[in-house]
Amino acid sequence: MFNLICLVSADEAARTDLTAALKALNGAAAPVMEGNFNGGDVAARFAFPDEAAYRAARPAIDAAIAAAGAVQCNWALFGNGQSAVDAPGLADGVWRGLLLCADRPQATARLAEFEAEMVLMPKYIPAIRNWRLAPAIESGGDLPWTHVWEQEYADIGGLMGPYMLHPYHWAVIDRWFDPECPDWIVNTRLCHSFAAFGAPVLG
Amino acid sequence: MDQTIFIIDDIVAAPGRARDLLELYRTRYAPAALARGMVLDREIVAPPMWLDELSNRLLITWTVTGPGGWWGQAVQSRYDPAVEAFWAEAAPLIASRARYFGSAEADVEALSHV
Repeated sequence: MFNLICLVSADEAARTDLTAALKALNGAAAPVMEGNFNGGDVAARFAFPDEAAYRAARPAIDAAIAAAGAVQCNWALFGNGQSAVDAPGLADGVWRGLLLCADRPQATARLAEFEAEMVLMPKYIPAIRNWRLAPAIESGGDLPWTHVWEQEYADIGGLMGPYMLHPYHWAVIDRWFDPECPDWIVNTRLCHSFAAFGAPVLG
Repeated sequence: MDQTIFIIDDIVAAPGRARDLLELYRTRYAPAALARGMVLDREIVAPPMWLDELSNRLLITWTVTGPGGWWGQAVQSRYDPAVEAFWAEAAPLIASRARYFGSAEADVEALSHV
């Protein structure tokens, strides 16, 4: 499976048509919710059975984004990575995607440890119902994104509450993102985006 | 959530440089940390004498209130270039360091069941 996330920044007047156009290309697409950080205005997520299907579909996706006069598109193509589904068919939940770039000098040496700790988050934070962590195959936008960390929650409260407040997040995982911590490996420029697609995308 | 969260800098100074390091920390790091809402709890020097040939360990503990206070200081420091610049400036005075985040044992249950 090949997956594509596009976080598109566009004028408000263009967003409705852009969302419809991306849906017409078999993507899940929706306005990005308030509280995002560099998360774009419209989020879209596509799944393709193989690379050939992705290559065939990509020009039309790019054309739809260009037609909207987009000022920015942060995107990442990624495979299955590591994932789990505890709530299959979660159609009315909230999807959250994080594009990150592990580009600090010690990132390569510490990447396996970082990834191993990241995938323990759902164990300690059960509000994360479905999730995937995958290295990017290709990416673009503000930075060459190296990883995609996406989750589905039953509602926005799961993201704003348990995910943000649990100490496994702020007292364990965040040190990889914190320039004050010696373990810091992730560029502080992130894309933290979330949207209600009205359809299950992870399981 | 109003539990006290401890932010602990555990810094092993380069041999003979602990006093310089603590002075730099006090003048170049602490004022901005206070402005970010961090409260200085204590500074411990171990062993309790200044070593010339060996390393002193500095344990500097700050507090904030709850995960909200923790995120408040973290977001401010993360996008302040002066913070990263401080740690780069201090690096020659440091042999190794770690930063820990914790709470009193009595608060573990409440903090971890959110």
